[in-house]
Amino acid sequence: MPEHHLSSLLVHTRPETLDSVSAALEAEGCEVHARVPEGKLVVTLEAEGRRTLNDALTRIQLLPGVLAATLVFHHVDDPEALARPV
Amino acid sequence: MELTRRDALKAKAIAAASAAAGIAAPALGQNIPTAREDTELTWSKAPCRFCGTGCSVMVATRNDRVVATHGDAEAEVNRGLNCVKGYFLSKIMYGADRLTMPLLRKRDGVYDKTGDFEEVSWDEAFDVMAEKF
Repeated sequence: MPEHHLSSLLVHTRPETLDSVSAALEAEGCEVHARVPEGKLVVTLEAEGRRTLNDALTRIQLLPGVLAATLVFHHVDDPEALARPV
Repeated sequence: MELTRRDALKAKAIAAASAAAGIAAPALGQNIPTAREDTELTWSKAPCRFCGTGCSVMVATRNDRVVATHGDAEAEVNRGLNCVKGYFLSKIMYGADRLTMPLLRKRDGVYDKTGDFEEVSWDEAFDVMAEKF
């Protein structure tokens, strides 16, 4: 069965690396929705499989300047069901 | 613009992460009460059973199937965060290799320690166990 994973992460970085981490997150396919100067970013990450999602999370945790990347929300569903209008 | 279930869930995801971070949710993450009704999800609260910390997890079901989880922002223990084990724990129920029946080593239809595992009923499993005690 095809799957679509939708998750949000809280990423803590050193304040001076906010810009570079933000760019690296976008290169990873994340959307950055909020950031504060103290070094916190709210991002969403979507993937077609759990392995893909976990691998991306691991890469994010290892980015230079990242202190922690924590999964906060996770949803897995049929892609067709997610595309339906509410 | 037509709003899809994916958009509504993303709003919820952003709101949950913003709450955990203690920062104001951006506009996209703020339309939660309607999003919750419209996505047909039933949200319930559950303790994580992975380790002994006792984190609280919000669990969403649709048609009696767990589809989403996020950390309970109001729980004193974990304040909106869960670890990766906590997030995926509820979904291992649906793993293709999960055992759903007792297995018994059998050869020619009867218990044999050197036989191969076969699915048996709980009655048969308990009878064989009782017999061997």
